[in-house]
Amino acid sequence: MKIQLHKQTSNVTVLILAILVTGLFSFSLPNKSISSETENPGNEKIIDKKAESMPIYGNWKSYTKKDGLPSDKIYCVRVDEDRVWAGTSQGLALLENGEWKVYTEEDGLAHRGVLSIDVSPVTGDLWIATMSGLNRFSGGKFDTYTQFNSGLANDVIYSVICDGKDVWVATGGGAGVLDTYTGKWGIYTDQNAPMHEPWTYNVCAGGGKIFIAAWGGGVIEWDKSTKRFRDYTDPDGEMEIDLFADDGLVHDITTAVSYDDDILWVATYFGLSRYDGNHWKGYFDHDSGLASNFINFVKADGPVAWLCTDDGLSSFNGETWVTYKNLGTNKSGNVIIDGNSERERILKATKSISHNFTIGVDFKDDEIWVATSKGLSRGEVVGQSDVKTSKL
Amino acid sequence: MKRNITYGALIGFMVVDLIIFTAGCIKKYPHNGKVVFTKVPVKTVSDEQLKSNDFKYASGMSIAIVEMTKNPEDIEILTKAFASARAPEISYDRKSMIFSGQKEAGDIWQIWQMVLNNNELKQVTHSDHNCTDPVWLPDGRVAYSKQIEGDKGLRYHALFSCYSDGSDEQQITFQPHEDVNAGMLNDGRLLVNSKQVYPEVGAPKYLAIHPDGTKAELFYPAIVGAKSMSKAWESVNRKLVFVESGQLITIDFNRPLHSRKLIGNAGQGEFLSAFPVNNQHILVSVKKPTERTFGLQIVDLPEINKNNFYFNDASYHAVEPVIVMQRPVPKKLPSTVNLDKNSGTFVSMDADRSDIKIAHGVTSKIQVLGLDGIIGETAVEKDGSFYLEVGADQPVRFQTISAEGEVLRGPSSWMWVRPNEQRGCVGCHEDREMAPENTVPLAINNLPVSIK
Amino acid sequence: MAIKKMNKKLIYGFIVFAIILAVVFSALHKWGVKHATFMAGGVPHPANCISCHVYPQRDGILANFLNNEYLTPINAAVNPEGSKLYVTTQDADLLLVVDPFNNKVETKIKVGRRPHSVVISEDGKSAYVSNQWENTVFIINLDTELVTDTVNTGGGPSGMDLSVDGKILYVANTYTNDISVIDVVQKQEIKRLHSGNYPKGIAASPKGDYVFVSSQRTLPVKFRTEPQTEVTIINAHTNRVDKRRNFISAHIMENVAFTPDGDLAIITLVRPKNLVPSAQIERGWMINHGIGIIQEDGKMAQLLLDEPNAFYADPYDVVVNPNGKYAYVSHSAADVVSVIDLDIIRSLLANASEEDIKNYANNLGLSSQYVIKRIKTGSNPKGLAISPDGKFVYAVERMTDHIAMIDTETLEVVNDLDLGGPGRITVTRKGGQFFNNAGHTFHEQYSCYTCHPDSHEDGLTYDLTGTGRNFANVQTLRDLYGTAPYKWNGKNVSVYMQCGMRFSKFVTRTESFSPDELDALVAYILRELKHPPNFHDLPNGKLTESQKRGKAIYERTMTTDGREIPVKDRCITCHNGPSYSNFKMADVGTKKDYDDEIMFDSPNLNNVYESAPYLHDGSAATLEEIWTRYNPDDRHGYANDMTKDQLNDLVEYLKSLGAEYYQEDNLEYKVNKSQL
Repeated sequence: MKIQLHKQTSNVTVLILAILVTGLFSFSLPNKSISSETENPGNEKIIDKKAESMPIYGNWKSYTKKDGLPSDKIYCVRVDEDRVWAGTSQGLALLENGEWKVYTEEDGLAHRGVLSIDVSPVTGDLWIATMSGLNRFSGGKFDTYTQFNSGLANDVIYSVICDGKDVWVATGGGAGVLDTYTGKWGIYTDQNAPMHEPWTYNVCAGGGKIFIAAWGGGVIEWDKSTKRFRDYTDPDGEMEIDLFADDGLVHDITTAVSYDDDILWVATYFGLSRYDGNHWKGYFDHDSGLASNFINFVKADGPVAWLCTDDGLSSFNGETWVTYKNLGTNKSGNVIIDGNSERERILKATKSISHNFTIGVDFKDDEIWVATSKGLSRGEVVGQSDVKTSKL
Repeated sequence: MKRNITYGALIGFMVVDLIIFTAGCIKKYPHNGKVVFTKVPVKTVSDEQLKSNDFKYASGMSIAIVEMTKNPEDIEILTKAFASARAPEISYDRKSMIFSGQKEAGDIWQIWQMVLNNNELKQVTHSDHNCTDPVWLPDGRVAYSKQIEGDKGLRYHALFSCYSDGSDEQQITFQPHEDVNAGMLNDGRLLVNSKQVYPEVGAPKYLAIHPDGTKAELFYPAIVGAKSMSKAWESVNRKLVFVESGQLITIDFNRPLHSRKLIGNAGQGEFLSAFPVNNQHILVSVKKPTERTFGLQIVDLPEINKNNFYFNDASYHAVEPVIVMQRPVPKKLPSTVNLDKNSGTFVSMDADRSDIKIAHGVTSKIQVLGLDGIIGETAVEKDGSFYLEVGADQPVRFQTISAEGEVLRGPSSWMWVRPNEQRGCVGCHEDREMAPENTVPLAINNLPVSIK
Repeated sequence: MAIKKMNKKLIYGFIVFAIILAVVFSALHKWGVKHATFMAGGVPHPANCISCHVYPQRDGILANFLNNEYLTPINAAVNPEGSKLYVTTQDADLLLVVDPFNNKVETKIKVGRRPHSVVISEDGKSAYVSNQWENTVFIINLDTELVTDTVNTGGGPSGMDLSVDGKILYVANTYTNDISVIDVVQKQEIKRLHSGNYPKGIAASPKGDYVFVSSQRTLPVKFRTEPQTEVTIINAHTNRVDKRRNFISAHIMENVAFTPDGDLAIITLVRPKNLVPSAQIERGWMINHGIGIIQEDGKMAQLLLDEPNAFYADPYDVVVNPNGKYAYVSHSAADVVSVIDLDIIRSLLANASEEDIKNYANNLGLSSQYVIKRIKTGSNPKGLAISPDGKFVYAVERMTDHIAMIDTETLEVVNDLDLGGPGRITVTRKGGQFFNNAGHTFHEQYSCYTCHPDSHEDGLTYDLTGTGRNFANVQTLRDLYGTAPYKWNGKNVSVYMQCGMRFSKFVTRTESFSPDELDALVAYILRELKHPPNFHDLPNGKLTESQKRGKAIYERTMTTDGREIPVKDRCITCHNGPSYSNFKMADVGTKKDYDDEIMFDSPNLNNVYESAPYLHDGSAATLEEIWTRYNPDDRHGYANDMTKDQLNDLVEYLKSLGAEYYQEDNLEYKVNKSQL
């Protein structure tokens, strides 16, 4: 095919994939130094009244190839009622009734590399973003949309979300939307949206809007009622330092967006931005509890944002930070409350996330599921940050 | 009064019209409803000859016509001008009759046509070999069996067809078989009584064949031990009636291989030929236990229980009865035969598909045999398919060969293709009620392997 | 004297005039015969101007005089008491209320355009009617016999069923491939679920756990592989799709019914042999007909209703007797209702190995075990309805405007209900009867409808030459008037030629149509077969912004970088006019190794959105693939300079192309597109 598929972006795509994959292969990135530690060998209850209340997760269990996953490299995770879906480098995996079932190209999966998954709350259909096409998994069967057989902008799809009858994707060739009622596709690129270039990395819906994380273009907002775009960018451009604090996005190279509770969270490789509709606020690893500025993914859950970074998993509700880190040498880890502040507390845990390079997260009730470069981790709420917890 | 006169006149006119119309019809179809049959003198043809269908060219036979009444006496001979005649068939419009006849003793038997309202005769064939068992094709042509001298000194009958003036004669069966007693199916195909004569004598069976000689396929095989089968006729309700080794049989057109039904029982006589009158009645040639000759009778379906029409004469057998009646014209099938070509093709979906349980992939090759032995072979594809171009109008048989060169199954029955004909086979000796699986046979992806 | 002279002059004048007239008439007649023979494909054809120039006309005094307004009933439902029959009529846009015991049409309720199905609520107080060409379901109060509410649906609503609790109405949206889930209390659609391709029939399982939806067309499959047609199984508790079960090598699954205890779901289906070289018709080499079974444990089977030398084409509807012992299947092209003994089927399946089940799907002899009767009906029996006590089955005869009332004890038609259509059978109507009947194929194996369901096309590619070459993608028969030549190779100058002698050699393989039959068939095809309204443009008939951009691309003369596109490489060159075709042959670079032809007829593009797969051989699964896969050298329009979003715009515009008579200035009626 010679139809222009934004070849100019494919190099960038490869570059970013390379960064991503490099991270996934970095099994033992040096953990950042920890300023102080509070020993908790006996799993006695933790009481930290200085922090706002945040759930603390523990009792981590890791799933790897040994448990039936097709690969240890987990790109994404999605919880759908009693089922857990994991996108890996070697296929799609489903945990149901305690058993893993794996789907590959032979079953109809567009590509073994599954980068993003969403479940339509209306139809229950699963939408799967892969490195070479988009799948709908419904009633046990896969349908495949590619740039060749449909209006999909590009086959490298980083993110997919369901918004009512619409399915939005962020691809290497622009953001796209499929109206599942009419079958119509829309493509949004630098040609028709305020993007720097067509490469997009993530998309989310909320507040009557669609937010797109666009490479070098910050965040693109699509207002569904006015059918208009606007963009949010870093006033400093692509400078790797945030010259003026809280003046907007911390960087134009955005990796993920998430909206909930009227707050927009924007992940970049250079820090986190939070936007409440009026004000922007930036967060960095050197001046907050954020595990690392290199943020792969953000997911908001009510007032809490979960940040998947190259050096641990952080959660933040605007006041209190809780960060989970694997210590690398064994299964144990640290839970750091309000790191880089006077209130910093470090709880030692015998179990932790399976690797610090985290790239996806999802929840169900008191469970959390974390996609890492070396296995899928499941944790459960074991306490609150302001209440002494008996076990981790 | 005036009104009455007017009505009277009108009614009068109508009555006159009706009389004129009826008279016209009678004149046009003077024999309508009568029975036409072959008289076979007892002196010249033995019972055994009759039963084994070996009386085609006997002397002294004639075609007679009789009213279908209880004890008919007024029997008229239609073929007085012939030394011998038999095998009458009435045209679909009931206007004329075709039959095989020998004008003078010692003459070649030819096919003749007689216009029934004036007995005008027309010679259809002018052959150097005996012709017999004519049947009307729906397009006005006539098909018949003709004695031929084939390779290896074999003498048998093959089917031919020509226009009713004898022009454009074409051979339509090409196998070392005795192909006789052809009839028509309402779907437009010929139903031929066919019995292999080489390399060994086979059992009789009916083959359904398009009138251009294409798509010959087994329609019904005689039961084990049966020596002869009469001409089969299809009734309007899609049943076929015929006589198989003296027994009166019906089969369903829709499912001929598994619907054989015996009508009556041995105590009711020995049958020779049958003709369906309607959905309920069959006109049969029967020799009752009390009689010495075959007579004619109307029997009811499904059981023989009435004797409305019956006659028997001790001096001759009354056989091959037909009724002068209008019959539905079978479908006129289009022909794809192209006489400018000299070959046709066989495509088989899967040579390993067979009644004989055989593992898939066992068949390695297909050998094609002619009258003189193997004429070629081809490898089968992984899916068991093969695609062959075979010289037209020659008998061939197939046999399947294993990788070790052993014959797995075969040789098959004789087959042939007409020029430009395409034949398809689901398998080899497979269940003949199976439709093909919907797949692309791998062999069709290449040009056919030429074996001529 | 002067008068005599005058008379003489007059006489001479008259003689001269008569001679001229005779010469002209003779020449005209000669020309007419020649013309008719040419148009009929070189076959002598009665020189009848009416055949081509009057019968097929859609409008005008003559056309109105020659044709009648028929009802064309399609589906029916019986009220809970069994006293009333409700019948949808496709051409009259009516729901008829019929008293079957007194042969009386009691009421005619005006409903939406092209009503398809009718469902009656359990209390008998409401009727739901799907209006296929209007994208709505009407709710009718059966006490007042008035339409009380309208619920918007997806495109082309057809089959419907109510949930066991009566609270949810499921509607198969044929043109948009989805299922509307309607809350009948709130009287609104609550969600739309993705279905198979062209969903048609719907049935809720008696235990209330599932809803089965059958589809007409195969899902997109790899080129030259077996068609796979989906039964979508909805979990009735969550209203989510639970499973998608594909019947292999089957399609046109028009309807589905459950046995009363839910142990069997029975689906009518057609088994095409589109991959098999069409060397012959004998032994079911072209198309078989039967039913699909899904057992309660999920096991699937296909059973034929044909026999080795007799085929019962186009099974349409299925109903099951409340005693659970018998199913009744209408064969719309065989004018027959088959009565099936379900206990025999149960026993057959219970003892069958996997290999047996596989063989059953092609076994033409099996039906004599379980088909206990073939009941003859009038022309084109479609929908079936069974009385609640199981005593009567009603078969809707679409082409006679009658209903056959079948006594399930005697298995005979005991009443021929006249719905009040015109008594006169016009030439066009006769053609409709031919079109929908398999009598003109060898062993009645298929009708025109079989490959052209709903007068469209079946989405399959056939090996009609039987040589593994020159595969033919079936084309639509809608709106063919004035669009000659026909066939992909453009060899047929008229529909007469298309359906004439060669057609009988290669397609029907039996006696060809007589000139009168051909007149009727052609009149029906050209006059009656229309595209449904296209819903891809805006409700007001105007184009969306994307479609406007696509239109500009379609009509463009310059490349994106400002170079002039050669005339032959512009979309508009070959695809122009009301049918979006110049009716000429073109080499668009789509010839494959298996093709003998290079040039192909430029197809019409109206409603092209519903004609997948595309190209002469069906190799392009979607419109996009025409350009993303099969146009590397810009020979099928200059396109490779486009960006993907421009291609999307072009595709969106193509999807919006529809028949002229539906367009804004010419709208016959308002098409409800607002909800799409």
